[in-house]
Amino acid sequence: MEGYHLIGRRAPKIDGIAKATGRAKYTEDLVLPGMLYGKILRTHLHHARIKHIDTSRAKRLIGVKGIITSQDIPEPERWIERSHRADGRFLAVDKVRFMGDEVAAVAAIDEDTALEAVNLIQVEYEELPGVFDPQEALKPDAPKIHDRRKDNLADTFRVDNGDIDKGFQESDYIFEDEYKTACVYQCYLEPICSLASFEMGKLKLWTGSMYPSGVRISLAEVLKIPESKIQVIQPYVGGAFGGRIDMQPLHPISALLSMKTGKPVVIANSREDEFLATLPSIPLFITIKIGVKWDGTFLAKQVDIVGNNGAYVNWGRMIIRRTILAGDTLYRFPNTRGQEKLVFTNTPPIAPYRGFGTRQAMFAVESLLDQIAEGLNIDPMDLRMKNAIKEGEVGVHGEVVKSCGLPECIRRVRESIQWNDKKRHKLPGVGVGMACTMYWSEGRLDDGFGGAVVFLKILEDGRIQIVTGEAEYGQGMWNVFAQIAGEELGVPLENIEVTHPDTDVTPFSLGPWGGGRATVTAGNAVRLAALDAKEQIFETTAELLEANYEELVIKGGQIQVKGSPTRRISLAQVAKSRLHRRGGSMIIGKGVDERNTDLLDPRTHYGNFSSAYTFAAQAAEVKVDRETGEVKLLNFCAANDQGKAINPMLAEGQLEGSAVQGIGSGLMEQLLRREGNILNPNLLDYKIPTASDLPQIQSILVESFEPNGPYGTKAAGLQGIIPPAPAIANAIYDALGIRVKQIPITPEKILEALEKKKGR
Amino acid sequence: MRLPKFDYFEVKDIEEALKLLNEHQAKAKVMAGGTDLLPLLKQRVIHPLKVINIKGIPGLSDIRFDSREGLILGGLCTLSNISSSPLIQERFPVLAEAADLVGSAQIRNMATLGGNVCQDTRCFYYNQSAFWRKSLSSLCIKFGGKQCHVVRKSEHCQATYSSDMGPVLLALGFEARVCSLKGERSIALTDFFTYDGKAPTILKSNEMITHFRVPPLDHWGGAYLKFRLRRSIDFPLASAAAMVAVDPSDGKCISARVAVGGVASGPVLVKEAPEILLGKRPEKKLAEGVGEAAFNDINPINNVGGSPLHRRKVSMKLVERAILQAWSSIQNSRSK
Amino acid sequence: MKRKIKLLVNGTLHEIEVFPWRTLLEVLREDLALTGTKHGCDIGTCGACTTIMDGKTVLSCLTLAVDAQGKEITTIEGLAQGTKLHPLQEAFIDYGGIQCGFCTPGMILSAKVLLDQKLMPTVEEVKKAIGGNLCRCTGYMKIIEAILKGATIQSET
Repeated sequence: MEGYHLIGRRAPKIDGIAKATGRAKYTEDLVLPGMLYGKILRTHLHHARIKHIDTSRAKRLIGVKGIITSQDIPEPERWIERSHRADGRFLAVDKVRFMGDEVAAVAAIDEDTALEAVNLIQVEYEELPGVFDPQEALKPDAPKIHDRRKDNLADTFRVDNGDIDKGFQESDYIFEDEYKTACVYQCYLEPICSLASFEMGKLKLWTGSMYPSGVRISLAEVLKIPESKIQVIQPYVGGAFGGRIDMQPLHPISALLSMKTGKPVVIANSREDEFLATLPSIPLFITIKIGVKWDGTFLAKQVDIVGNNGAYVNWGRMIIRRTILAGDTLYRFPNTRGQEKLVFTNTPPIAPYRGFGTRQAMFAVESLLDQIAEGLNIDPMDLRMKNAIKEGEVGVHGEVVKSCGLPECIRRVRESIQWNDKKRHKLPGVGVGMACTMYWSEGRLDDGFGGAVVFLKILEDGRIQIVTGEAEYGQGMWNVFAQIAGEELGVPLENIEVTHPDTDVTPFSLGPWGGGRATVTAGNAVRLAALDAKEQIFETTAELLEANYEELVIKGGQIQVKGSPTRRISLAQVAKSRLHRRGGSMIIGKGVDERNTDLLDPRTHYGNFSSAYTFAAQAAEVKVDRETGEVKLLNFCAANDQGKAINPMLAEGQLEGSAVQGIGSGLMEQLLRREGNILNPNLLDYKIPTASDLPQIQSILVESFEPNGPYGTKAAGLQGIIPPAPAIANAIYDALGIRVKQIPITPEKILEALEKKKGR
Repeated sequence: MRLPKFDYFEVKDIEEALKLLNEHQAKAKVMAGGTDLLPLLKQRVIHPLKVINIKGIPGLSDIRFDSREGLILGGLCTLSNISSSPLIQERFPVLAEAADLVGSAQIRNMATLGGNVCQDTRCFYYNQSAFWRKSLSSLCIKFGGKQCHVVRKSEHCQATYSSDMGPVLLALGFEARVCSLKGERSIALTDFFTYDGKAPTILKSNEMITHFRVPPLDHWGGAYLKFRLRRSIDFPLASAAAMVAVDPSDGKCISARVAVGGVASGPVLVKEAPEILLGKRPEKKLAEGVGEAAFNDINPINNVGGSPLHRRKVSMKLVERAILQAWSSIQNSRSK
Repeated sequence: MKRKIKLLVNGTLHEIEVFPWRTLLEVLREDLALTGTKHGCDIGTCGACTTIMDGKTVLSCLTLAVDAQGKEITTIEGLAQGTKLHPLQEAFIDYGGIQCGFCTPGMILSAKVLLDQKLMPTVEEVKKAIGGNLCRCTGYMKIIEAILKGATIQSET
């Protein structure tokens, strides 16, 4: 192939041994001397005014070392609007707005005492009526959730492109329908935990996060401590998927308790806390209308999306504004209109989940496209191929698509699922369906720095240490970095390690920042850091071997003179020599990378906001039991365009993992709510797929070449979650001729649809 | 979530257990596998002051077959022992199949037959933490209050009995051996369940089960079908257990029992099954008839997931299929 | 009313005093500093707390520590022999069976008891053995592959 020794290799995960032996420490595994246990008092009411909080009984309990309420928060300020509760303080001041909202917190010598103390805190509430459905919350007589706002509309926005009315006028056919997606929970397996230790004016905080530098910024803002006095350290992290995107109330609560008690304080979410009071993904109600020509050319697309924001402003605004554009560029719609309404309700605030809202929006798009394909008697795959954006084109909203492997993804999936054959020879109750998507590798979210800084140290024994603040939470970021560095420096993978983020030591990093940012920008930065280090290595080697710089080549931990195998020296010797000589120094490479992307125009949302765009196509074969509605997945094929796969094994793992999450959202996952109460805040009744629920998933990597990414790579982990739900819905239609327009598609929805069809 | 404090006893014989139960009554709970009991404690749904570990009592894990007495299963048999027992696989395969469908491998290793049959009923408004339940306007009937949060006008608790083994034992005609300090008695499972979600079995707080027994069955077949959203871990949203026995000379049905699980406060015996099936040869129409009867006999409520109407429809289909499967398993064993 | 108990964990006998309401999971993590067994859900619904007791997998979050006395307990820390990894650990590392690693200890132990009973399990048998271990990262495909490869490695050694 290209002669790489690490790029493209199915190398084992470099943190694999730690994780396979149980030695990897996650936040709840950490213990500090004198550590206290924190517990949060959450409100059990959906909407209420706080009249009075009495902590006196709790204070008297032996073993209680500190109690805090909002009175202890230094001058409450607005938080950074995009990521936190704009009305918010991390402990409720005058009002609680959803069941689970934090009101007070206790630190005690053990968990049982802390829990007992929490139960002794008395809060006097004035209960207010609650509203839980966005359509209800928009009605004029709905209870107002934020007093300083005039109603419950958190955001509304419209983006027009081209001329939507003309587009529909020129269409030969117009298709429209309504779709609904449930509220789903990211369900990373490690509950969020925060261990805070405030000592000598400095706060140390351990937590698993996607954006440790961001946690630090946010803590500084809400606690009124200078950033330089906050150190956020990241142990191993048990999954994230958007839910761990930044600071949540338990972080500053644990910090404040530590400040008050003078001891380290740990607060660990129970799984129930996770369901009630972290940040699930946004449920959407989508009305979509598409106009096409008789030959299947897409002319116009209009969406109206209503999203349930939850009780506080958070990521909702940014997410929903992206959903109204989903599919526009993928299918080159010349005329589009996207409108959204984001509504406050008395439910937990939402955060991104893999796909940033595109997953939900594309369920509507990909379902309607199949309806169009049937209406026009065009094969669904052909319809998509006909309209799909091509490599080298600029999208309707300004996306510069330098790499696009979508045609190959569609072709491979068609072959893998045996599409033609299955369409021709239909078996009763069996059907195939497919869906595509486009996503972005990263996303410019503001006009500031959007890149990455990485350092690379050559240690005295020739090992490499990559010093980065980018987070590894299972996706394989460390391997991407290590394999890139090892490729550039000719060092075997076993000799490379990556630091855990530690904001005192590792450079500022933006985390995923809108997508799989780290792959492209941090990957590039690693490469640049390696090249920088290489220069220093060669400089010293040239002296030591009395050779010319240009004659040197590095391979297998050795630097040698080209054509003269005996003239060689180990990396360790070079590193030591440079370190200990007079006027010498450690070999440290620095790499800074920022891609030249646009900030979206605030009105038109036009702009090339990502350095690369990713694609995926997936197909499902289902067998449906007409009498019970049970859906069995017989086959599932998923093709991903992630550019050059730095590590194909890990890229497949990302594809398979995200596809299974998509399958879960399509068939079984939903937060069940009744009058505001979440009925299934546990892992038995909130159902994520088990191994027994899945067929063998054929994962196919299509490697386009992305010039913006190191070695041609771009993000691998986000696009795969988007196609499964519509692919399954389309397969069910193929099997039984019924279309279910709400996910998850549970057996009862299938029987309902069959009944309705019979009744017609 | 941590367990509350309790006094703990590890008993070495039945007497000891019964004495403790008799002394402490409702303040005590026996613990076998703990998979039903401990989550309830962690959520503070119940808080027994005394927990009695009965796993050390000898003789309660037997799996024995006797040509006169039939199959005897100790209450402490684990579900994995039942599913892997060659004796059960050979003579009562439906029991092994049902046990194998419960929960997960870990749960099956820990959970016992007695615990599975005597498990507490379940409901969205019951199986929640103390914090969650604070949000409810009043105590529900199962907690001693007056209001059911699912069926507002209901006067009794309708929490769902979600056991897999219960319906199967009922369909096969098992009886339970119940012990107290006063003595022992056998009670047919048809008389064991109360269908009251608040106290689903007739067991008093000073009683415990030691064994289950079913007399030998002849020329019979059984089947257990379970409907749930996932193929592992989940309780049944609806299930059907069928037992049919035929006269070998003419293939006509001489005994039939069908039970539906996961849709009521106990396993529901479809009372019309014998009259529809007895004296007739296997036929799909008959099985459908029993299914339709089951549909009318049950009234699941919206308390464990899945729509009640859908669970009724599925129960109907599962009953039909279980009967057909039970019949064909007789065919298959006869042709051996 | 703490009780003196002896817990045999990974071949070592620990003499400790615990209250009867402590679970095995808590005692392993807090008293014996064996944090490899994970705390995922508290009520037995995720499998992250899986340990092996007398050759069978159990949920340590639903096992009382006092009830584990007299049993042979294996946690993930007890699998490797010094630096020599168990074939399953090797396979999980080499074949992509690990992403975030949180489900990994429980998953490997569930696989181990399967391989202890069946040398070359089928895919269906593997799925059944790990049916109670939730994973959110991998989608299970590479875990299943790793277990099958682990079986091969084990049979060759």
